[in-house]
Amino acid sequence: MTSNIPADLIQIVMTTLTVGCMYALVAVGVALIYSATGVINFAQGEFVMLGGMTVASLYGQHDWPLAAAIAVALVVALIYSAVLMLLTTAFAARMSLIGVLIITIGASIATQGVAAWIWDSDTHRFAPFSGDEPFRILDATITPQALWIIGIGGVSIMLLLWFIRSTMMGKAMRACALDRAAATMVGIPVRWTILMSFVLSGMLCAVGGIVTTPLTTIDANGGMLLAIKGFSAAMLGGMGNIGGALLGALLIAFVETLAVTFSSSAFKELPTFTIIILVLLFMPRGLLGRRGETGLHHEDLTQR
Amino acid sequence: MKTSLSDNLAAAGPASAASSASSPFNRELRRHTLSAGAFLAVMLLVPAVFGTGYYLNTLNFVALLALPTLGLSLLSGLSGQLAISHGAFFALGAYGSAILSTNLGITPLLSTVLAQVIVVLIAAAIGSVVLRLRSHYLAIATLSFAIIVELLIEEARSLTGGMQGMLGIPPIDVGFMELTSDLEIYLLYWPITIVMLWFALNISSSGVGRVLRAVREGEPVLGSLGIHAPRYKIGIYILSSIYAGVGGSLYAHFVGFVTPATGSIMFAIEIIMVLALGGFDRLWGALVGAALMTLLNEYALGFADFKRIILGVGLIVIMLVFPRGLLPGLIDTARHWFARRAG
Amino acid sequence: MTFKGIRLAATAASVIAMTVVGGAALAADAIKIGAPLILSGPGAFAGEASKQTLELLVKELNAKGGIDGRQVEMIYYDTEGKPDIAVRVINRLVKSDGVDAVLGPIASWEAVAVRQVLDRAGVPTLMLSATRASVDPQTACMFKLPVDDAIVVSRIYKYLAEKGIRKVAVISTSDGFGDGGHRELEAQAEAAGIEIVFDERFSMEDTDLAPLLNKVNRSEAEALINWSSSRAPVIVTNTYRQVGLDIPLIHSHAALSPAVLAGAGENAEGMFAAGAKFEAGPNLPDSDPQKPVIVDYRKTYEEAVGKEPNQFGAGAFDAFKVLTAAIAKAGTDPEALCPAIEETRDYVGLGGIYTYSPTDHAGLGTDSVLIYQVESGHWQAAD
Repeated sequence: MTSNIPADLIQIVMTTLTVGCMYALVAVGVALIYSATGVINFAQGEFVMLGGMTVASLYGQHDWPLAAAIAVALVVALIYSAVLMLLTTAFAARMSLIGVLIITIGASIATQGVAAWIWDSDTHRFAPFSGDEPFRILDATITPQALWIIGIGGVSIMLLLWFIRSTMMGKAMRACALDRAAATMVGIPVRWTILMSFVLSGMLCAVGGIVTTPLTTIDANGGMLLAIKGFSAAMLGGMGNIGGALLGALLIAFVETLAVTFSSSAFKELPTFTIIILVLLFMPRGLLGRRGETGLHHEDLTQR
Repeated sequence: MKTSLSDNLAAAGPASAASSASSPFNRELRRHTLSAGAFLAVMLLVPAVFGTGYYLNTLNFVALLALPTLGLSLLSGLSGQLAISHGAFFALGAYGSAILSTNLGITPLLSTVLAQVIVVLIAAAIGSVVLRLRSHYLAIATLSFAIIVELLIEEARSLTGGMQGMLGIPPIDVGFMELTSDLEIYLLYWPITIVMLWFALNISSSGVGRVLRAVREGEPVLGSLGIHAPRYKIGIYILSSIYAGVGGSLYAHFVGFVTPATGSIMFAIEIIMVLALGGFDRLWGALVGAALMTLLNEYALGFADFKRIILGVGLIVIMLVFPRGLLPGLIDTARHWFARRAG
Repeated sequence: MTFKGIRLAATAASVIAMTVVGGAALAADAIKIGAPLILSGPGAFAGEASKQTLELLVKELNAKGGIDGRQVEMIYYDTEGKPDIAVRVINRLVKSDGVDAVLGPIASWEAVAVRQVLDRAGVPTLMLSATRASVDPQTACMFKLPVDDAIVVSRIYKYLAEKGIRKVAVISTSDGFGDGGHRELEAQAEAAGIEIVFDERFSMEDTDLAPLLNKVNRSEAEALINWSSSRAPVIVTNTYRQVGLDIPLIHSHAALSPAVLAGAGENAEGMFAAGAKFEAGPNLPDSDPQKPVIVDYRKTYEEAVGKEPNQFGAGAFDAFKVLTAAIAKAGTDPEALCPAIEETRDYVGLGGIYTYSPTDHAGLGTDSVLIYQVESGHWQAAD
């Protein structure tokens, strides 16, 4: 095998960014819900699946206009996130954390079943936004869809960060995450801010599903693995810390890309999960997490 | 069972197990021996009454699912922690015994025991590392460990057969015969399961169980009493992993093949669901949960999409109605009902 | 204490009661055939086509009065594409439903896993899986229908050698299907004069194969062989275009389906796959004995189901025909039925012309495999 260092570098950077964006959307989604409620949402990947499948079905198969299909997909994600919010918080106010975890697992499995029943279990894809023709820089090849993923993913996350830092609602969300009791006392509508976290999280992941489906394809059963990647990334960065989730996602994508480039595709997850265990051991709050910043942290999963 | 903290600590001393015959532990021991013995008698009567049939095959799977769940129930019930590594230990038990018996020709009963040595060593190594973590962090760390085990099994092709798995694993040989029929397996596996249930019940009400409950409640006095809490936690983690490992070994010699799916993450999640069905701190609940899950698997054959919908929605509804799990929920409901009728 | 015992006993009793009711006996004189098929998950399209085909065939056969006056009754179960579920389903078919024969399972990893249970029970089985390992090593009453990795690999190597291609890159999935193909590709390379210059595995869950295919791009390979099933051929094909690979891409027989073409769209143009003649159908020369059978089946299936048939349905068709012909000759007693299947000679089916013998339970040779190329959105016979 001949080696071409500049091309390798470009390829590694591009793949890291593309895969990293995908993981980041899920990880940031996980972090949003976790910081608002302390819930690890196993159904996080279903947002991605629903987003991708809806557009693949309406735009790819039934020839709807792309914008309309995306709009419907976002509405589906919105409704689904509201249902999840009700199931995991409102109806389960005094349930143990393990109980809430089980509810999200149940939601994930049921959603996969419903999706497989409505559509099917086959692989779906729709045409990339601007064609399949790759362009070359040196010897590296870049697909236009990768740029769409990086662009839309990046902009979505920037918008989210701006929203949380600069708007009233976002500040309320942060206050809730830090101390729910105090937030209630100063008159923040806690219910609504939690709902907002779920909705934003769901939309973000649905967007992720929509932009990546042309490149990676989607099927009704792929959600849970993506969710596992997502909260691994979130945990790595520091649970409940959005910047940390972003960093964790990019780091995992980078390690995986290196593993695939220099070793074998089959082994790519081995370094990732070894690193996660090590980071948890030596920096138990993750790379960017600081004590006290993670919102609720329970020691006992069977209580709340 | 509610015990006050002072009870826990009073009974927690190392001497408690050896104390007088009227000690709470001995009373509990008698109670557990009676109930487990009665259950064993019933299970042994079942084939005598109903004869042999396909239902024995189903009941064997109930036992094989109950074993890892018992292990997890022991861990979550005593320490309040959730590990997602029980699928991995099930796989290690299954592959360990399969490799020892198929490649080295060790008789399956012995290879099952040797496989548990492997399970203990790995559980001790990983436990002493990850048990410093708690709650979600422990869950993710054990999940990462499980993913690593699954990957290694998939890639160590010369040893494990890769994704194809291992085929032609010998059935258990008890000296004078090989156990291949459902009835023969049933008559070995159910007694093993019930003995392990009995053991778990006793651990739970022993001094060890009390120490762990105290640890869980964050009792700071433990250290000053000379009790080294982490050692207890690692101990219970190892013990609970052995339950999964034994389940895996017995599974391998029953179905005759193992694949990476045998102890995958999805299986680990299934164990957690079984635990939820039975109740997080009810050891008997593991059996009920395993029976329910096996029945669902059995009767939903042929419409897997709906099976997932039924299972998913069922879990959500059960958790919302009975937040502590199905069995404790039903028992509470029944108690309320009787109490209202009586008074 | 005893209260607990009683409660558990009640649970156990209800478990048994439900199981016994579930296994209630069916009409005594019907011929019962079990069909464990993938009906959910990523391989569901294969199982569905098989089930629909079998339903058509059973309806037709029973309308004609069945076999010797005995009606045929199919029992379908979903294996979910998982070996452990497949084994439980087989247990149930054999021990509870008491089937006379089994058609299936489809996935390679299911087929190899269920061999032991079926062999122990001695139930005549016609495997629908596309790997030689499902009947190798040979057992008393297990046969295989579709073209398998052994003959497809040998056909691909022959084609490459004719085209003067000596150096190939091999990528295969880490699953039962990928493993089976990989083993054959490695084993047959030297004899065929082929050198494998790049050999890597990937997983069905991999979302981005660009780094892998970039490595292929920089190797000396003159052709890329992809041994994967389900959704993987689609991803490989799309990525193959994205990274701008310009060596020929050759898929295994698992890629020969309309679903792969639909998933890969324009990216599929020009790629190759090897497999049974079935996919060529109406484009076969009139002299081909298989042509009328294939054309007829395609027409019937499309009219009844309203979808394009695929090779998995075709496999089920052949299996049903071979099995029912043998039952008509010898009845359902395995002692007589197994030799009767072995005596099947020159049966012209959808997947090839089958001839079994006491030493060959695979039934097909390399002459039943074609090389296909995608041309304007369709699989066209290239060789």
